[in-house]
Amino acid sequence: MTESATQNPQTASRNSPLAPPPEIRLEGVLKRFGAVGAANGVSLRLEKGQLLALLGPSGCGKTTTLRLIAGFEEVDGGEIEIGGQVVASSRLHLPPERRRVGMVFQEYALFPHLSVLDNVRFGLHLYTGDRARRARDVLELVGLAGVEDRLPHELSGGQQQRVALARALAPEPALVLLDEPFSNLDAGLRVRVRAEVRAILKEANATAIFVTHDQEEALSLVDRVAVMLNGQVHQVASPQKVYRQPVSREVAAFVGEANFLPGTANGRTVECELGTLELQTPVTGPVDVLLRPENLQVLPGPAAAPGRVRSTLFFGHDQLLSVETGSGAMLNARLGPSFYFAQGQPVHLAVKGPVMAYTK
Amino acid sequence: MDAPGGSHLPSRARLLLHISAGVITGLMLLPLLYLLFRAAGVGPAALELILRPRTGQVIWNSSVLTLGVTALSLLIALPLAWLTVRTDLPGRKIWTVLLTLPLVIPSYVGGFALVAMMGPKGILQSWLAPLGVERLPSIYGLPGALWALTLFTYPYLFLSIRAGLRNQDPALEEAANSLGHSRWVTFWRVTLPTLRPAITSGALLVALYTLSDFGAVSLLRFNSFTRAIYVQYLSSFDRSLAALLSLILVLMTVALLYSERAIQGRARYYRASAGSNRRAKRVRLGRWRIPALLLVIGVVAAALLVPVGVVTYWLVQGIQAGESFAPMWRATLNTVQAGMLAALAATLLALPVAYLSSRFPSRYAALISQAAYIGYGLPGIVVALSLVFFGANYATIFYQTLGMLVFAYVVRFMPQAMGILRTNLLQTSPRLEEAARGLGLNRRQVLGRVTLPLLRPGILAGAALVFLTTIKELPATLLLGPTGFTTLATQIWSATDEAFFARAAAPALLLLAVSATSIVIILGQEKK
Repeated sequence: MTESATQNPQTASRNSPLAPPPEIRLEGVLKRFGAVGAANGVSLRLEKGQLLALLGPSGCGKTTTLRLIAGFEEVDGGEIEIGGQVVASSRLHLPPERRRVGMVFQEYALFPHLSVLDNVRFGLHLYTGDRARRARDVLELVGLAGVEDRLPHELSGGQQQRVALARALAPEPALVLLDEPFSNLDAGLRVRVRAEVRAILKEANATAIFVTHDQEEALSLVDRVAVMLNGQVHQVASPQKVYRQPVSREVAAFVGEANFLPGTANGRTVECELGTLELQTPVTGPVDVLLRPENLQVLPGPAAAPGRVRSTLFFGHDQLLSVETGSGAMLNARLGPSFYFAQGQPVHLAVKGPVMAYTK
Repeated sequence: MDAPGGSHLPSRARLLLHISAGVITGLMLLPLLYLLFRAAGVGPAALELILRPRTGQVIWNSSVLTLGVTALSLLIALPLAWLTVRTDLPGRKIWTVLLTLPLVIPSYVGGFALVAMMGPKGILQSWLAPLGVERLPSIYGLPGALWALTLFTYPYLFLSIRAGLRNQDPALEEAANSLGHSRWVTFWRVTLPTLRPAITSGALLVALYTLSDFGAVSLLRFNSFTRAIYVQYLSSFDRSLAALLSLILVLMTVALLYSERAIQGRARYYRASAGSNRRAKRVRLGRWRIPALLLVIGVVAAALLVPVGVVTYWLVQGIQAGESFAPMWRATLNTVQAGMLAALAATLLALPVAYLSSRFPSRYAALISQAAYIGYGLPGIVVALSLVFFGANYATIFYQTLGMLVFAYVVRFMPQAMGILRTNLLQTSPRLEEAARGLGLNRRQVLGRVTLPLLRPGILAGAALVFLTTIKELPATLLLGPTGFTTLATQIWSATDEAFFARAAAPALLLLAVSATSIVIILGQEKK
């Protein structure tokens, strides 16, 4: 394609010569619908071959961001660059058909009047090689060889999903976008399809962005997670880092379950009701200490022990305890199934490992 | 299998319901069955009659007219639907209403307007005569019939394409865009193909309307089936040919219905469930805004303004010339009387059939309720002709009475009431009736305090729709009305045929006003 060949020298030089240039870059992207800001300055970078999840609650602007990247909406400010070429800014709007972006829609949007093969072949009009062969190869990649002549409604949900993926991958796009791709699959199928989709994207060496509100999906699927709240990206990091070291109280509360206890931080340590705890990143002053339920240890104690079990939820592989501390704070703790706790039982609470704390 | 609900009816009442529904459907089938019987009675002479060149000519005429009107309607309706649904055309809501309204213009009123405007004694001729224009090109025949029928039937396609466009998943076009196709290519390769079901069903309505229309073709003297049947009926003592022509017309109708299924093909078009509930983004017309507006204005002018203007013009002419309104009051009274009787009878007869098919689903019930729709699919002239034969031969007491006419109306329009009642019943859970029983009401109390109150809107809407359709009916009224019985429809028709345009104007305006209200009822039903 001609657009990809014309590398914009300005943007190329802005990147450090050592780090590989990002395949996609968003810089302060703005989008308003009426008075409502759906994207309030979204900034994001992703390297070639990486999978990124745009994770956030509904209404946080993640789908809008995806549609801005694809070119279905025009930006009100900021800049979007794909494969070294600026595709959107306040002055420029490259139409979707010239962005080399493959999109997998939430409802798949397979063309109902075309066979599976024709759906996949639909975007190959600029492909220089053997188009039928390319379509068959991609269908084979997604494990759908043999259903080429069927119509979309004759396929199961999981198969439709994979046709949509094959159709998006076939023209070898610079970037693949997936909008809540697993939300239409039932829970049993979802886990399997997720792993398959990840494998397919990795095999195709595709750069991809998922939009999802499902934390488990985001954490288990991708290389990088971007947490989006209120129209802004709050943190972009590996799944482990986003979970273990959330940059803010809001991110911590959205990703995973979180307890907060008030405390006073003195650089490397923090004082709180549960004692002096080691900090992962230094802070000073009055803080909220993040305690993940699985980092809390609950031990049966004598009647004088400060904690009281208020309720228990037993799940089999683990159990969730609600414990009231001496000061009256309620903390959720997750522990193994072996111990039995009665309601009102006195307990000691301890914390495993270093913690995060956020200035109030 | 247990019947859903209704099972609390005692078996005697259930038997009665099954029998009465069967008898009612039998009555609805009478015209078609008698026509078959009559045509079979022609014997070997039938082949000779069918093979006459004149019969072939009629088949050819009807086919050309039907295809032509359908194609022209599509040509008008597709851009109009797209403009009003998918672009930023100024005033698109008002245009949508105005572009739909021609639907309520009965074809003979449209025919009247055309003849009274462009005909030999029409407005245009009288304007041009001082300029030395002796004769306008004739509007009679195919061109006039094409013009009139296209302008008053394209709204069927317009509405169904609009619905198709609105239901289309906007993600389909976005997917095509992101796969590298421009908006133009996307329209031809994605939008249009996925509109196929909407286009096919709308085109079917247009084609069925055209094939069975009597008013426009008879006034514009185009020898298609319905006019040929009428002429044959008037001019000859041996009515076998009229019966045979009717049968061929029925066969063509069936062929049309069947071809719709064939065209729909194996592809299923659906909008994937919830989720992408977005509306598609509107296309900015930019410099195309003016041409688009001109197209819309042109169609509204031709299909709505000109007919209404012509009718008004002749009304004023008539008043100035001292035209008497007495015949119109007489005709209005007759029209209202016949319409009310038909509405009452149709609703009463529709109730058992609708109740049976919605509360006691079985193969029998499905067959009965589908068969009851046949009269709706039959061209009016066919129903009328068959009942004329039947009345003259077997029911001479009823022949040329108001009762016979009302029966014809019921055969043709009862399915409208039945459809509304059935929808209403299906939307009313039988669990409600059971809940009332559980609260200590007996069967009769449940009927009076639960079932009927819940059905009331359906009964009223159904009756109103039958009334409004009946008062516009032409062919059955012409053939079956008692001697000297004129309605608004027959008055317009005969006055136009004899070129007394001023005499047709007042009833035409009245009918237009009344039928405009019928669309309100139909749209009110669709919203549910």
